[in-house]
Amino acid sequence: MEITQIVGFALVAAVLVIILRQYKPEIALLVSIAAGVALFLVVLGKIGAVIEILQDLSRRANVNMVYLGAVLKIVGIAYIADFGAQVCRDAGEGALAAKIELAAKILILVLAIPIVMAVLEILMKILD
Amino acid sequence: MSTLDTLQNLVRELVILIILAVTLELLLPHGDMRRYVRMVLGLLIIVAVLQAGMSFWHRELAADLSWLSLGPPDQAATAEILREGERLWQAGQSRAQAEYEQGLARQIRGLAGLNPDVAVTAVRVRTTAGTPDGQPGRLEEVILVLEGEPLVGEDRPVWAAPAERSDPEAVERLRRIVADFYSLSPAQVTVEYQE
Repeated sequence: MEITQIVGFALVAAVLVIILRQYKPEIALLVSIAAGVALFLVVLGKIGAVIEILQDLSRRANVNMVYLGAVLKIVGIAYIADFGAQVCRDAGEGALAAKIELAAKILILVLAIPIVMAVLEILMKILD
Repeated sequence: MSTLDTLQNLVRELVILIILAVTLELLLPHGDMRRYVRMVLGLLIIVAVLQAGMSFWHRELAADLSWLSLGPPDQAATAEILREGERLWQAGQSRAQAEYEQGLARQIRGLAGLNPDVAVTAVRVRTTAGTPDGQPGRLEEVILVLEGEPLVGEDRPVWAAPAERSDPEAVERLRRIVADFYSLSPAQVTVEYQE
């Protein structure tokens, strides 16, 4: 089972990081980042099926694909920013983590503009 | 599509929308980012619900427009619409062709009336149908019906003198005039005598 492999890999990486942190903290941080990226890449391929289902549901619900694409991008931005911020916090760089989160929030708001405009347009149509 | 079908479509769309929203909710990350993504997701749901509601509302206002539908038209409905359009186009085309032929016949009869040597009693024309890409029909044949042989039976009184055929030269002249006027070959203008 894949989950067993993933959990095993994470446990091995965690033990390795704990041991390395005592002797070489900088290497321990790199190992932690590499393990996180590897786990992220392993599950990245699986998310394609979920996105296909979401697209199918959107088609059935007559939701514009542009809006769904924007939402998926926003979810992706949130995950990547969260991942980056956690890595920065693990490295003791809380300020940098906050900057990553700020950048992600701005990007999310920028991507949300078309959806906000769509809501406004529909409300204007209703009120006309 | 009846109002009940429309409502059924609306409810179906809303149910699918709820499933979509719940599925997207599962994808949201934890932490501070979650609030922002949820806000955008909520806006998306609002857009979708309002769109579905707006479609339904406009449909109620324009209930007589039966070709409107909430969802994307399926293949069967599209084929039916296309068939109906083709049928309407053909009906309009036939009517236009008939009116065109009648108008031409009147014109030719008026033209022939200028020649006192030939008594034209009727004119029949034959045209080709127009094409769907907008090409109009063309004049194919003109049949001039002349007074000539005496009528028999109840159409003609027995005491009436038999009508004589028109002068062949005058008839030929008229044929050429009509052919030249409509850019036809003389063979396309034929003469028939009323029996």
